[in-house]
Amino acid sequence: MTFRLRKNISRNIFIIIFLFPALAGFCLFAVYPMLKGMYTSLYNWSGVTSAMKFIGLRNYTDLIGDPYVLKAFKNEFLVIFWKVILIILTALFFALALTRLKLNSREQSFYRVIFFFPNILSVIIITNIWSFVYHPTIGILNTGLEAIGLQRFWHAWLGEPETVLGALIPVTCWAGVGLFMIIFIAAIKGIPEELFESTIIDGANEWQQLIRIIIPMIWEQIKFSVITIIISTFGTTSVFVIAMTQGGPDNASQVVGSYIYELNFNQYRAGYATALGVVLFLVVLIITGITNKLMNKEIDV
Amino acid sequence: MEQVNEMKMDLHNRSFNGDSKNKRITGIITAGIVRAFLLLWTLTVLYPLFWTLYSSLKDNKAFYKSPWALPEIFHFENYYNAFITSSFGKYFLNSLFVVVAALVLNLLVSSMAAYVLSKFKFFGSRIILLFFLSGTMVPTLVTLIPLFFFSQSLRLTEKLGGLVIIYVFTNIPFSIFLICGFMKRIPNAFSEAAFMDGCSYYAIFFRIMLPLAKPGLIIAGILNLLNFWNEYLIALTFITNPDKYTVPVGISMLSGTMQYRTDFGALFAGLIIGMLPMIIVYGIFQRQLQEGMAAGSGVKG
Repeated sequence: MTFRLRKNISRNIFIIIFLFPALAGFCLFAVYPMLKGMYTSLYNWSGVTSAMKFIGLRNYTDLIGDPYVLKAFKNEFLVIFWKVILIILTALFFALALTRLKLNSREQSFYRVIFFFPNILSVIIITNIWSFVYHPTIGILNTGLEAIGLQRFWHAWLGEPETVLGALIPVTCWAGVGLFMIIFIAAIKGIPEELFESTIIDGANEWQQLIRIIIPMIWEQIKFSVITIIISTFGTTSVFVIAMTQGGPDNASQVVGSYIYELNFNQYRAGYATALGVVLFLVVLIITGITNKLMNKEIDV
Repeated sequence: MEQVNEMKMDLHNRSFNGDSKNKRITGIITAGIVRAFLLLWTLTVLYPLFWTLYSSLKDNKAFYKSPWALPEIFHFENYYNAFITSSFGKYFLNSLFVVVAALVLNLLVSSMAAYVLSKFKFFGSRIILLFFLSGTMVPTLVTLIPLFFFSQSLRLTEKLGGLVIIYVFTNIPFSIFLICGFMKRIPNAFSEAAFMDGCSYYAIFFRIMLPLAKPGLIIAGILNLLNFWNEYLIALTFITNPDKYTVPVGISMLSGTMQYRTDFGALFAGLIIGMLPMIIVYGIFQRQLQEGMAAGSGVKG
């Protein structure tokens, strides 16, 4: 009895010692800042001085009247919408091409390696390279348009409010599509070959096979990818925007994350910025819930 | 089964009929179009990188003359300029220190927690795991600003060591999730036998669990290596002293000053310096990287 008790005590001590560093660090550097953000969102605070004035929910009511907040959310949802469509379609297309087209295995792995490659690059490297693609005078896009005689389509792609968002979205897709291609390839390879054979007997062509077998069989992965793209876009697009356009010109490419950054580090409105952070957190939470629900429902039908 | 084979034979025979000849031709055409798309995307991925590489060997004059032409004279001194004049040598060492220190600490702390959470049943163990995982859903910008002020009050900003601590703990949930998955699959028999032989839990962790979970540790390690080396936003906000810049911050600062002091050669050399280590890592650990990112995409957010 005493032996077991002693054993239990040493076991518990072990658990505490091994869990403590991770738990304490996570609470300190991830959970606490979030709670602190909720706290400072109730204050009028520049972030530069220690002068803080409690103003209750004023920051939140101000957010409603701020046209740039509306603009940032609108842009964020536009980016999400296009990213989901473009990434899922392209990734699915590539995954189908690499699995159903009779490529030899060397060719297959060549494309896999190349298409995944942008995923390993830093955002700052990607944005620097693409800034040169979109450069008004020396950029490949404008010089390319000139070469085929379409100069009237010239734009300062990142400098004009009408084109900036349309220029940013392909960059984020370019950077992300390879990962989802890999996910889809794994899923398609997991479909039992007999299923395809049975539909060939029914006389189904490749297109019907796609609709009747492949899509339903990899629906879980498609669902997972859509949710992943939606959630990760809230985190990553802002980094692209901060590195590429700083939200400009005239807030035309502002997304929520980059606006938070701008409010805090350029406008010194830390209280207001953290309030927007709390709102962003709630929005992500709600959207995650909704997409989970919607996607599950669809699969039941 | 026999019937199926018969039908397959029938199908095979039918493909020699004129009716399916058209089908086969359209099949070849479709395959051709699909291949064209694959090649086009290969070009979109490889050309920007190739362009960065050869631009890093041109001087300003050659770059302005034609940004898309191959260099006539190879200016390898651009790399000397990048390393010495633009301090990329220093940034490289800073990045290396941060990445290695953060990697070692992150893996140690997370694998300790993962061992406890995967192999010990105790009150609240599931809730703690879910608690860690929920941290991965929060966009960086939600916590970045409170985290910045909190770190400032702890005097962790402007220090590479501070960056290490932030990287270790903000990336913990993902590592725990991954390593947990691998440790769960290790049969209990090993540790039970060792326990009977009088091994302590600590010895079991270091001598049995860590070696057996090595594939998981490698995947988690490589993904963190990539994250830490490429991390831009936190380093940008935490470090303003040029002596402590990491490579991504160095790149962003160099490209930010391009309006006043142009040295395209050094900038492109900097981009190459920034991506080369990851290209090497990708070359060696391609499979683990793809696998790990696919597994982690859902939790990383």
